[in-house]
Amino acid sequence: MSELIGRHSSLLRSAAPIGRISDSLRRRRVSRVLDAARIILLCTLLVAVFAVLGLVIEHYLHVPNILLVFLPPVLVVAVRYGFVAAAFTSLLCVAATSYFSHPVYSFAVADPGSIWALLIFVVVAAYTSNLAAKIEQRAEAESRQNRIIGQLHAFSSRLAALSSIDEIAAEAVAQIGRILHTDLVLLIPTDGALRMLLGGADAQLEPGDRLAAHACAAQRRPAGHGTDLFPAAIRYYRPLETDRGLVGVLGLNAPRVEPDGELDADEGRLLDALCDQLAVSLDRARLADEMHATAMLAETEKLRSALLTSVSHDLKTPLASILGNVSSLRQYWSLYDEATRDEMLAFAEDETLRLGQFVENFLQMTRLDAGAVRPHLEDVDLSDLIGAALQRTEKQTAGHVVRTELPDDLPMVRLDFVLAEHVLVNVIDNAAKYSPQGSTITLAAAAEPDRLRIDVLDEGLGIREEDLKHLFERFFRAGAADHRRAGVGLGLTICKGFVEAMGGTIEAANRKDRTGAVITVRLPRAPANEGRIARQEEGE
Amino acid sequence: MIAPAGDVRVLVIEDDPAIQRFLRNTLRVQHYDVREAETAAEGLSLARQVNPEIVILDLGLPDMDGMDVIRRIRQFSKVPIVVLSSRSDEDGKVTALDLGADDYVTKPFGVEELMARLRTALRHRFASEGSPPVFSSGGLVVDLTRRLVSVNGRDVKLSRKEFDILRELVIHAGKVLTHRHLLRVAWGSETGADVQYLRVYIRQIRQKLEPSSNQPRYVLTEPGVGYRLQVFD
Repeated sequence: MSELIGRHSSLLRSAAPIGRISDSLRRRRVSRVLDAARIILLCTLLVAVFAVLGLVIEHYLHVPNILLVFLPPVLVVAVRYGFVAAAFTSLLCVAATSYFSHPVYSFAVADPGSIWALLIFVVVAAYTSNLAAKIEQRAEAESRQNRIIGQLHAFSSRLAALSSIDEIAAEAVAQIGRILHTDLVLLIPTDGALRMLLGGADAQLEPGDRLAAHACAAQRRPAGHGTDLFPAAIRYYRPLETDRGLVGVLGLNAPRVEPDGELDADEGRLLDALCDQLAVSLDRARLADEMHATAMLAETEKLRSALLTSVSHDLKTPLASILGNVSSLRQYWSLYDEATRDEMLAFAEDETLRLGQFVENFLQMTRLDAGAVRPHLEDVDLSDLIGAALQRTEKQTAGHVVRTELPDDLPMVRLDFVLAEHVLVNVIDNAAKYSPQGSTITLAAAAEPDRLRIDVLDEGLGIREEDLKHLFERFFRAGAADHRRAGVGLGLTICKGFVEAMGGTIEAANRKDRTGAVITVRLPRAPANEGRIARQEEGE
Repeated sequence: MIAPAGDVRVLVIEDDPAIQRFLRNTLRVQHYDVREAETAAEGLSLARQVNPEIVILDLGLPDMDGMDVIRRIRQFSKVPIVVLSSRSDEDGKVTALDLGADDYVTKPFGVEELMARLRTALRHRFASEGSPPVFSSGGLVVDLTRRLVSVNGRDVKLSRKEFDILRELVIHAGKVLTHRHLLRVAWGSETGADVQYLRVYIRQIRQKLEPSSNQPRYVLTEPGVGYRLQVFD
């Protein structure tokens, strides 16, 4: 970006300075005409002062040519008021010299030296005034260039701060419109067509303008008003291009409010530079969009392949054992003793339940993905919820000690009972899976200012630090302890989806007091109206 | 096919052949007289003809909405209906129960669960003529006429509303009762009382009855549907 600014500023500096006199210069000329009288007066006064000075010098010092004394006022006037005033002053000086030299007090030009002096004065005045004017013009041009560079710099840094095409377009149209005092439209090629992004007029382009804009995009050269391509169009269109191709078409309202309507050379160059900047910014945003889309695609691909791996492993494994057990029993029924048959069938039954859980999870995930989970929020007694969840997980926690720590005065919590139960069942099931038989699983609840917090603590090995932040990601399985009879790695993802749908949060951590994991669910408290019901009860 | 005398006549309305066969085999082994229908129309006409003692109805039939089937059966019969429903369709279960179904089993289900539901539904069919005045199960004793409650010999004092709710659960012991059903019992018909009122009362009942109110033994929650009083056989 900075390289670009450099390029533009050098381009501006090397360009011929002025095409047309700028505002300030014009103003000064007008004031010069208006103040002509004042200048004449000033020059006369100046000459008079120096004439007196000349008389004094001549009287005391006897300088041979008094004319030299008048050189400074001529120079001053030349620098300050230009050639005409200086020439006028020269004339006054020569007149004054003749008046005060012999014969004194007469304008008769005594010697031809005075004529020469007058000529020299005029030449010096011309040269000096020309020099001064040049210096001034150069300063003027420099300050204008500085202003343009400043505008360009501000423009590019504003655009650099934006990342989306729409933001860049909006900002660019506003900025360029302000700098050039005109209304603009910006069109972006999208999916093979030109898409009107925005402009002063938010309506559709007029038919003639649409043709001009498309011709501009197709032929990559300016079109519309003031060009030979569709000159009937209202606007002037120019392509925005980078090395990678067309990134947009900028349309300027051609009949500007300005007197002659056209952009001057300076403004033309400024427009060039602004368009280049805009093109680069748009290109950058487009590139970023494309990269983002590619990354998304890659992510989706990764998810899909993870899903396939997961599905084929986790759905086929139980199926294989069910099929194996059942077919073996059918084939060799008489070869097995009663106990073995029972064991094989029990195993098949368990595997079927597991398969059912997988299918259930996939269904829930699909519902979440489809945005079909609409929580039915109601105020619920937490012990009721926890009781229901424990009831559903009786089988999984049969080998564990389950402890609940619920204060008696817990407020009601606002949630969807079915979703919340699903969450707790999943979390409790996980706790049972990842902690040894005989250990304790604790469910603790506590009221926080505006939420209710439920902790599920186990006494397993805990979760590795690096796994903590991935725990709720799809298909993630902690510690890659894959021989465990774990789920598809969807359980906690679904929990997170459900909890968030209910306006709550879920997080995982390791216990501070001992080894083991703790999953914390926070859900919004119900508005306090439980007291009313309780009072009604006492009144009976 | 002549069923042995004393067998309970069950009508299975189910369109999936695999589940139909599983139900047929299981029920026959358990000495049920099984009649089968694959469509709602067939099921309705069989329900009139064979006068079944219990109906197992799959809600997802091809020719008619399961809810309509319940509604139509209820027009002419009080036969217990146990619904086969798919998971995560709590609203469907509630609707079915409110329309007059007696209970539901969620697919996939194990045979023990199905049999327990059938037994409960049948018990209520027999008991509906007049429930015994004293209910006793697993240490919980409820005297319906004298309005006395005790747990493991310890007397429990319930408020009027609490007792009304418990009595309704006891009368339908083992059956799931929807929130709306219980609200109607405790607060009269359609007072607009909220489910959360019911939850508060259930909590209070549990605190008085249950040894551990966080792990209830007697009053069980059926998420998204209602409550059920556990029966210990």
